[in-house]
Amino acid sequence: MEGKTLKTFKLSIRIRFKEGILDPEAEAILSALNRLEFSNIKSVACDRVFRLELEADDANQAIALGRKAAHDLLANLVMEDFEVELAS
Amino acid sequence: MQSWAVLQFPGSNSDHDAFRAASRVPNVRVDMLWHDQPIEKSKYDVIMIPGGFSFGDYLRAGAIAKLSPAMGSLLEAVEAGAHVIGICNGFQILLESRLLPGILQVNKGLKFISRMEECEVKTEAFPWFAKEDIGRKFRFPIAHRFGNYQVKDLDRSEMQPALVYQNNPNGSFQSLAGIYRKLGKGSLFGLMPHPERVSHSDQPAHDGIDLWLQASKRLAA
Repeated sequence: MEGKTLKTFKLSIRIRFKEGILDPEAEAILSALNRLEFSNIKSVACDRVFRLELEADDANQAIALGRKAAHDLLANLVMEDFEVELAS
Repeated sequence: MQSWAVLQFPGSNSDHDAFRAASRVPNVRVDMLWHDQPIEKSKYDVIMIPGGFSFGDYLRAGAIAKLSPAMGSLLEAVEAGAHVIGICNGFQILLESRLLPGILQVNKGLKFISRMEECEVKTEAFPWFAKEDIGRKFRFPIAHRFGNYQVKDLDRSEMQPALVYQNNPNGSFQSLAGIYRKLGKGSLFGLMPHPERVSHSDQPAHDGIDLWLQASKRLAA
């Protein structure tokens, strides 16, 4: 049997607070921006992005692994949502 | 003789305060347990998870510590009868492990707060608080940046709002300073204040001493 060759993929995993979760840090940044000349900025959200390099059979498997990593560790699902994307 | 344990993680910094506090309780033997071993199932009456910055608070406070073998075995130990008290970072670890509900966000004022706070006992929480302790006030130090406790709703059949701040310093839901969960033959008590730092004559206050002495007495009864 021929051994499978794994390919390398790059993933970007974006973590953000769920709607309704207050982020005092983002609030503070918003009010600082408003104190400058950016009074027309109405909201700020601070997302977090993890960039991963991993080996998988194909893109689908890479994304599935990324989702599991986000689910098990990178995000706290009580307060955060995540999105996994293949990075070019 | 009761057996108590203090769990140590890389970055724990209240571990020795906890050890010292427990060591002064009569008839209590205290072990320091490094996080990389599972906890022996029926060995401990009390397991203290101390404050600090386990694993540097990397990712989120407590997020990496929850993966330690000791934490993996904690639930079994509780079901078998251990009473766990998670203080500050220990509370954060219990939340990240999903053994207690909710999250700790950055304090409402964004600042690290280090000061004494008055806390009131709201419910019975064996072995820490008895019925007659309800309404009792303790002065405990707090020292945290992520102490703003948020939870959608506390399922009162399982969880108890055991301890509340008199002057909510960090924006916590319903001024909660500590929550308690009965589980199997044991329990889990997570709180932000540090009773182990007011347990010695060389410390500026001594309200913590009672907590340890009473718990040990109730466990022995």
